[in-house]
Amino acid sequence: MTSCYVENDSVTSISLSELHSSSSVSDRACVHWGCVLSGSETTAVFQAENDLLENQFFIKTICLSEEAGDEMHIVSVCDGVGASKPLPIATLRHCMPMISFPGLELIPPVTFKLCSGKGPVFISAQHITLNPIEITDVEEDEDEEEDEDDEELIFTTGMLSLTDLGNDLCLQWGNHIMHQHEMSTCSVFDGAVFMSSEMKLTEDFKRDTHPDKVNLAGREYVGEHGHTTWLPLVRKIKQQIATDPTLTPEYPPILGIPEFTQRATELALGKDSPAIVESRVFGVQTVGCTGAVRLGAELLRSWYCSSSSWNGPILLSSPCDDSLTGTFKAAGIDDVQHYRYWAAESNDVCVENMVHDLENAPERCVVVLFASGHHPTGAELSQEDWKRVAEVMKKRQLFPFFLMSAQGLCSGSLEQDAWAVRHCVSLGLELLCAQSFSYSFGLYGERVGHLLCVLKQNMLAVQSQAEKLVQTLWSCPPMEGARVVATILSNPAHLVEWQEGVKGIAEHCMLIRERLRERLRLLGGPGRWDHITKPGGLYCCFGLNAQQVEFLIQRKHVYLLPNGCLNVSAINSRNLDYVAESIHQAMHSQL
Amino acid sequence: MSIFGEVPLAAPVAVFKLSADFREDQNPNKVNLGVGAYRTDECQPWVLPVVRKVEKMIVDDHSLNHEYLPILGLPEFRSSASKIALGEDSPAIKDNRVGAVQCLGGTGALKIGAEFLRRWYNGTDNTKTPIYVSAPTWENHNAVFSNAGFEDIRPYKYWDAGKRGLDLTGFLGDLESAPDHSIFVLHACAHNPTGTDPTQDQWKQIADVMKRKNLFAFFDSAYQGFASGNLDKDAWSIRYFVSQGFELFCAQSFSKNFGLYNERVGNLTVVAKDQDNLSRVLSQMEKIVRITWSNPPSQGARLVAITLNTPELFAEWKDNVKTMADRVLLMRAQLKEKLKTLGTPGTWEHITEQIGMFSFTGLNPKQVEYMIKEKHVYLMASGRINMCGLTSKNIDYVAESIHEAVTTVQ
Repeated sequence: MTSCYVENDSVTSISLSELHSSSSVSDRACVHWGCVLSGSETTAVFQAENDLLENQFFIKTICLSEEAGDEMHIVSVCDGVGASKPLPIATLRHCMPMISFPGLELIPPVTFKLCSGKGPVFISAQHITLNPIEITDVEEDEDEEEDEDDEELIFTTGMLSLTDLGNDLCLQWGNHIMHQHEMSTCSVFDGAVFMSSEMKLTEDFKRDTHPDKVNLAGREYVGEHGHTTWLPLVRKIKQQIATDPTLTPEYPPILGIPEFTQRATELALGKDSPAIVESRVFGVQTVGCTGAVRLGAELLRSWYCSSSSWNGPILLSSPCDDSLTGTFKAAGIDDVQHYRYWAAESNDVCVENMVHDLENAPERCVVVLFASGHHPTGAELSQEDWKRVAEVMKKRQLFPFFLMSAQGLCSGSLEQDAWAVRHCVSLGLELLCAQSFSYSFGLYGERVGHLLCVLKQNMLAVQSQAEKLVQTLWSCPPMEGARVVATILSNPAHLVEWQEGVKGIAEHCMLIRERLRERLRLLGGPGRWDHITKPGGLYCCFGLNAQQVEFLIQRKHVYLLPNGCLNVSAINSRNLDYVAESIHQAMHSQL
Repeated sequence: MSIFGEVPLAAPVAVFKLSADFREDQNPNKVNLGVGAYRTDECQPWVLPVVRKVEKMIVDDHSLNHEYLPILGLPEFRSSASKIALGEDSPAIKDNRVGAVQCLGGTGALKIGAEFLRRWYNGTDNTKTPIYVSAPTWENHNAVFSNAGFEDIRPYKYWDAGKRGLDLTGFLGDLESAPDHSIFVLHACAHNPTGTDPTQDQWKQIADVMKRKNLFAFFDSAYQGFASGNLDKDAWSIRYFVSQGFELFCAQSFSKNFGLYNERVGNLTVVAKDQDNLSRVLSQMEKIVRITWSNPPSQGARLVAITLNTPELFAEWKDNVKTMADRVLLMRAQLKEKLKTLGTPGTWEHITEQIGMFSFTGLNPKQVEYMIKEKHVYLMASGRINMCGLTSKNIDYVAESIHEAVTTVQ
């Protein structure tokens, strides 16, 4: 067993015997503990060395090594007080290689076992030791509200024990897998359980009965009333469509209806774009933005660089939506790498890092860029930044794959939000752009997406190959939503009304951001809040650490994404105070 | 120089090319017997009356939200769609071992099923598991499974051109010689393109071999109700397999029987060994859906769900479906009669023996070319015709054209 001890940088180095009661962070020794499990070493044990001190052991993450094989890996654990039978706590495969725990405490001795797969699997945990006198005091306070002036040591809240976790749905399934491996399989299906972190958040929120619960981890734009909205115009158009006798239920063209693809293309590039004028652009109506990304990925995999099977590298931003990685891998592009995008220190994009990473990227690789509305951070590049990025892309022959999910919603201006894409086109670059019409039309359920392809030549051939790929995915796209969008975008009066609506959403989001910033400023405490109001659109990132996020979810019932990313539209006049106070507490209490 | 400079032009899909050629043809007598969509006797697409009704209901319902559907789709759609396939009183449903994924039409259902099987069936990521598709079959079957990563896609004997019927011996032979655990794509009813289905007895024989050799049954059900006019009759094969204890997939399409071609309404029904297996399977399928189209579209599913779950609307729908099926049966009967009256050489029993939208006429490629070029009657090179393209106005012309083709072209 290889284990390593790494001192926590934030703790000054002190000997364990010097611990005494105080409320500062450095009174407890906190070290990172890790081990590697593999086919040759399937078991690792953590033993507390000094029984005179209170030992706390928090498992943090279990992660599959890049070198591990494709098989399913299962890690189980048993600790000093839990059931003697090992409990599976992680099932990992390459498409979902890591699991983090929001505060799972295990009582030493802790035994980890790799029950399935050959690894390597990395396990990291936190070992905290304290003077036992402090513990008694704190145990009494655990259920009371945090008080910053309290002399007692305050622990990370929301801790779970192994028994608690055993009741969790994930583990119930995991138990079945353990059972499955012990007895002969009687089903033809033998698979691991999956629940993504985002899906789990949604499930947890639904089950949460706390009256003040707020879900800031959702995707949709919600209005002040807390629901998704439609423009009255959208309802009107839908009624027209439902009663239009000329509309027939035929199979639509494989690539979608031209009325839609033409408008979607014009929206992204501008009517007088050279690419449109020169007929070297085509569009595909897709099943939402995900469908557009998937199709684009399949197209690249099949045809990029004239190779019969290109599999990367493709560069995604760090951080990014994990389903994005999954989508590219499902299309067969295995080599997924990341460029630095959002920087924790500044709570903003760090263009220097990004440009540096692009300068050093392999020539001709594909780079996924976010034209507006980066998910999940919301961080944006300025036009000057984009000029630099585009220059590097051109110089190193990197291929841009833009994601533009919320054109118009970030700045309020359709042109401004599409500037990066148009700039690249004006430089003569070939590119793909995945667009979503979910947000700007409130048509989430209808799945209206578009894949734009700007080429230098050979358009018809690429278009024909796109058709072939669409047939293996969904044959042809659903009409309802696309018809609504096409109708609105083709009618000058409707177009104006719609643009006003989009501007309204953008302004609403900006207003919430302003209010949130003001609240946090009033609550006091150090902190710069520019990152809240600098970008527009739905998302915003507070750069919180895992403990702070866990505090917000478990103790305050405020659900947000990792790193403290959140959807500002879910904040309204009813919950603004609570959300602001909660964030404030998360950032300034001893956690 | 373009990154995509060397990309070759893909061959157009035959059936769409046919329609395109038909559209450009100026001949007043032209008939399109190509694409697989229902047409009224006026040769128009038909919006089912019940569909019109429910469409209005949906648009006037202000309580409906516009949010993303769950990844696996609208729950009331999934459960009612599975019930349609398996029967209201299916023991598998009672045992809570039936689940479903709402997909983008029948194609989407095949896609998700294929992606799941490639990852989790017969080992993990076993791309070498053989996939058997009927010879002939719907031309997209091959592409869907191949794109999902399967490397070994083989035909199983099905159509006997000589006797213009099912080659049962060949079929059973291929089942016997298939490697254990191979996947077989079975047409639940109204086989596309031949219109020839196994009889109940023949299905029993097929099921026997499949059971013995642990072959996986993946049903493609695109014409339930449309074939005989009776939903239960058209689902007999699926229900029989379920009763024999098979774990299986059924890719359902509601394009034809609801006339909802353009809203992409499909359902992948999963029959698993037990509830625990089912939940694991669905959890993996959810992951696959997430990285394919994220969530399915709401319009069509809502429409179907409301119809299937409201007794009066359900009855009206069954009636609409019977209307379509009856018209097809009428055209079949009339075409056969006319050919017999004309004394066209050969037997034409297969026209009424076959079932569903399509008929394999038995015309050879030269005769097909003659039909298209000389008579402006458009059909697939395989000799497949869409019965829905026939109307009381054009059936005489078509019968005469077939007669000419058969007598003048060898």
